[in-house]
Amino acid sequence: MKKGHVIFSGGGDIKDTFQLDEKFFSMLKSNSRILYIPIALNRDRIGFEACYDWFSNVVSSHAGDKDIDFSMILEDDEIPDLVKYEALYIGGGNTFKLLDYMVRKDLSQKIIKYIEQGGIVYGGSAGAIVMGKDIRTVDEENDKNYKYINGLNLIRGLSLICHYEASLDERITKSANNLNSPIIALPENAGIILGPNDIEIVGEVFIFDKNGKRYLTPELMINLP
Amino acid sequence: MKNPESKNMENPSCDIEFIEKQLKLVVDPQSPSSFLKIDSEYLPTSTDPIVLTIPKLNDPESFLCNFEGFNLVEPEKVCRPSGDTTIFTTAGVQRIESMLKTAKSVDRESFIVCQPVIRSQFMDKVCDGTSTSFVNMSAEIIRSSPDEFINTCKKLIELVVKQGISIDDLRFTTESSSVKWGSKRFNNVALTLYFNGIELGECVYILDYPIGDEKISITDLGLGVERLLWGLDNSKPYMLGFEDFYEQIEDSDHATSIIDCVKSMVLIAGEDILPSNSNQGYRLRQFSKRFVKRNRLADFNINRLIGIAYQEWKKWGYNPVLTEDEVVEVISAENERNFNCLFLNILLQDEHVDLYIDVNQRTDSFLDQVKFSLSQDVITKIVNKIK
Repeated sequence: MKKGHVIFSGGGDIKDTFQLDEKFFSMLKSNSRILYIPIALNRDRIGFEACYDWFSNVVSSHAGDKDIDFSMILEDDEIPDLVKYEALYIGGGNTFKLLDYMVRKDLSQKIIKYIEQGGIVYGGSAGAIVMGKDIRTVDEENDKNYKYINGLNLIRGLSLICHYEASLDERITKSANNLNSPIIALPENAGIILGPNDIEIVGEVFIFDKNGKRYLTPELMINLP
Repeated sequence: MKNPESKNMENPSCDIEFIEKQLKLVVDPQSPSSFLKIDSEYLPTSTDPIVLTIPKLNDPESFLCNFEGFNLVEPEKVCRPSGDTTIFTTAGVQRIESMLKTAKSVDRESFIVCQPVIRSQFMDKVCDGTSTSFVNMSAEIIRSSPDEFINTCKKLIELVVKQGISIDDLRFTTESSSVKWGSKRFNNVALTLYFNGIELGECVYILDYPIGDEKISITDLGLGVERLLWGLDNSKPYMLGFEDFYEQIEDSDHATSIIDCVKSMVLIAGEDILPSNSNQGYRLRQFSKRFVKRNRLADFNINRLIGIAYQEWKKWGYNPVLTEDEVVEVISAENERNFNCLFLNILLQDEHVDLYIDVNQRTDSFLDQVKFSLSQDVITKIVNKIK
């Protein structure tokens, strides 16, 4: 039985994800520390400074009076003891690159254990997709012939796609058939919070399966075969 | 009309092959990670000791004499205005971003700047050789030719050699990449220079920096002054000016990690930023939290650290808005606040007591309030644990 919370975010900008982020930060007490994992991104001209600024801005927008601190890990860093952190935040970028890193560094298993022990994990865009069953929902991102395709499978055997808009319907329907896996489609302003005993849907989330496209509700998720 | 061949001679394309050919770089067979070195055929044969022809690199003027034809310009503020690519200045080349704010285009220009910068991405990785704040010596040529880029690479090599390093001991890497900077994407080639495995500086040629409808080329030489000086002689402490503190504890990396927090805090607070939960003030708070934790056992004198950092930065052209005393006041108050936070954290973790007391006060008055709820034994135990 998982004790922790997993948050799947559609991956929009700070304004898009405000409602979901607000719920994430409301779970954190003052003096909490977050481990920010921006591994899915590539470095820019001077490394990952812009990532640091971006996440700093996210924290600033939601911390209020709480003291929330964070550390950022980069590809060459050792994975710290996750228990030292009240939450993990896995950012967006290239999903295949991220999963490759997570498998090679055994981070996937550490995250699963962390959630079982009561940890909170937030995944945005690529960070959300890797926590689904199969990451080939974004097959076009596999630009370096990465071999790992099986995600952490933390959402009832379902796969995910982010940045959803209606123009993607045909493509997602095909993917669901090809992968033989229902796919949850998260628009940029939507998300799912999966707790030990409850499911909360934020915004309009869709599911694509053999029955076609439907709105995803907590009841539907619970009753999925 | 010129034929294509003569045009090529005047304006050769700048790629890795061009750099390696122009600088006579060959693979070093003894190096483990495909480093390049200057072909021994082209090395000077003289065995005479190298004459130090430039002064010690301890102020902006000392760099100028190595860059004839460049103008020395004052550094920009460390805290950048809202809407810029980063919230702190991270490199001298960002000056071009500022120039473009007031002009649609930029003219040809060559300048050097010794820019105090902050790179927070290293906040939890600080050790000798890696810091969050340092002086970024940058030499920039806007609308530069490949030949000027090669000449600038040579100036970087000369700069290091004139400090007494044998050219035969220098190693190089070359790289070609497509990069993103804010909303701009461009291609560049880079030469990175190493000594004893430590990266001392790099020279980048940006081939197509987009400005409106135009794409211009820029030569960007950049090096961290503290790292350069330490890399040339790492028997000396990494943070110059703080030698006394390095003598107080054995772990040099730990001393660096404490001093680094203070140097970064001084840069931010000096520009009249107050600690808070937003923007640059949030970063100041993060540095203070790390200082309080890292300084627990070392117990370095914060006022002295601030005083030295303040004067060291000014030496490089940093122009603070607050006086040294005002900076001491801002940083000390924030450190005490974060000491109070740490006290409550340990109380919760070790004693399982969740106490609500306002942390935004001086530690003396905070502890006076704590006395109403906790025994003196518990208070002493936690204070001793922090210190």
